[in-house]
Amino acid sequence: MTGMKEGAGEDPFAEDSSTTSSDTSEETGSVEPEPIANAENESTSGSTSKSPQSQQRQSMQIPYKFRRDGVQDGRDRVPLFLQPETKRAERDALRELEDRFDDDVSLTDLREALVIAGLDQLDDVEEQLEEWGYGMTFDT
Amino acid sequence: MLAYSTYSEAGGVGKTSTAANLAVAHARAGLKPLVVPLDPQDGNLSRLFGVDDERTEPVDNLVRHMIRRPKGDFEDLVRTAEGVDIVPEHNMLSDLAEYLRREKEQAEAMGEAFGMHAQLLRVLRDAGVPEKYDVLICDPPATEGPHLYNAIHATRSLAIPVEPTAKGRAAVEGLEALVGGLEDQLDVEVGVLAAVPIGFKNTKDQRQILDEIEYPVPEIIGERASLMEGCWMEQCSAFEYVREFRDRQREYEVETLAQFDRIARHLEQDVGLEAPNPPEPGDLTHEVLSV
Repeated sequence: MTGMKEGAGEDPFAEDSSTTSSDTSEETGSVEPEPIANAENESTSGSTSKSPQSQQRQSMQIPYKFRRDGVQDGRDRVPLFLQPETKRAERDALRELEDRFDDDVSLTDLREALVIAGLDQLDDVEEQLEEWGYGMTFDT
Repeated sequence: MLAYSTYSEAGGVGKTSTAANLAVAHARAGLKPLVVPLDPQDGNLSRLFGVDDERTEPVDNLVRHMIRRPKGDFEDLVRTAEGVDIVPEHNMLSDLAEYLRREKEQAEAMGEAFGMHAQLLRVLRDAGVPEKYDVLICDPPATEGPHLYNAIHATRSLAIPVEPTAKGRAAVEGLEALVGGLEDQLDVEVGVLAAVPIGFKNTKDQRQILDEIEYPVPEIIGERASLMEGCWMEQCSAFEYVREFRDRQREYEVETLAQFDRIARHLEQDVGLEAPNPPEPGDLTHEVLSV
């Protein structure tokens, strides 16, 4: 199942520049609410393609978890296809980390953290890909 | 504001009970919830809270507001039960599709655009709902149509009660197809705040199905048929029922109430909403601060 995003959808009541008080509305839903990521008056234009890090305008910033309105702020949606055992391992990791923090951990946060950590471990990633058959040669 | 629709494709999952009990759980924590049930059939949330006495009367109702023929203010539609504001369902909901279609034709004849699925959001916005309320819960029927589309369009987020059965799994998959189509058609982004498995008996098959749920599962609710049936009999939430109508408190039922409390907190936290006075989950003696 990969149909829908986890976490909140966009904010249906987000203010935007189009008039909302008129009694007509376009078939497209009368307004195009901005993403909820406007906690820091950025002019986000519909689909932000900025990573949370690149939104930092100052050296000191409130951590992303506390700065955002929802777990999807500042993120692009990427469909993810996981093998069942990977999904189970991911769930175990989530529970483990929730125990460590003694707090809820968002699966969306965990997934991006896993990707970031993986990006620092390309050798391990290479090994995994080889396991799936990358790099095989069939010379006799 | 936290806004979500409860959705489940399969009937009898306890969608309406979930919406009702979550609304009470938000209210218990000092938040102001508005519930907009949209079920054209009897046996729905307005009935559960006993505010459905005028559904056959020719009174002002939500449908009239959605087709720009209100007889009064939106505020006057609202009824309150157990600290929860509710816009009662009305029998005009049965013909909502037809009313909207006519209104659309009329508008287009006048050279206006009329989004058939954007009307609930317009009504709520014009009534200042996001300023007056902390939480909006829509409880649409499962069948595809303007009730469901308006609800999803107005909330953009979903909480999905799921039967942990193969049928329930199919329902979630059906929902994904539906939402995908809706996102494209209405140009909105929909997210799933939580899946709430209900009727869990901890069988191997059920566990496997739960493992496949891709969405956050804050709590897994067991089989509580007797509790839910009691709520319908007495027309109240599960909190009220256990407090007022159970001669002795059954531990597992109190645990279910605690689960509703925790799910409500999970949903609130998801959008960064902080309840001012959250109870200890399942605490029936929790004093509600009236605002």
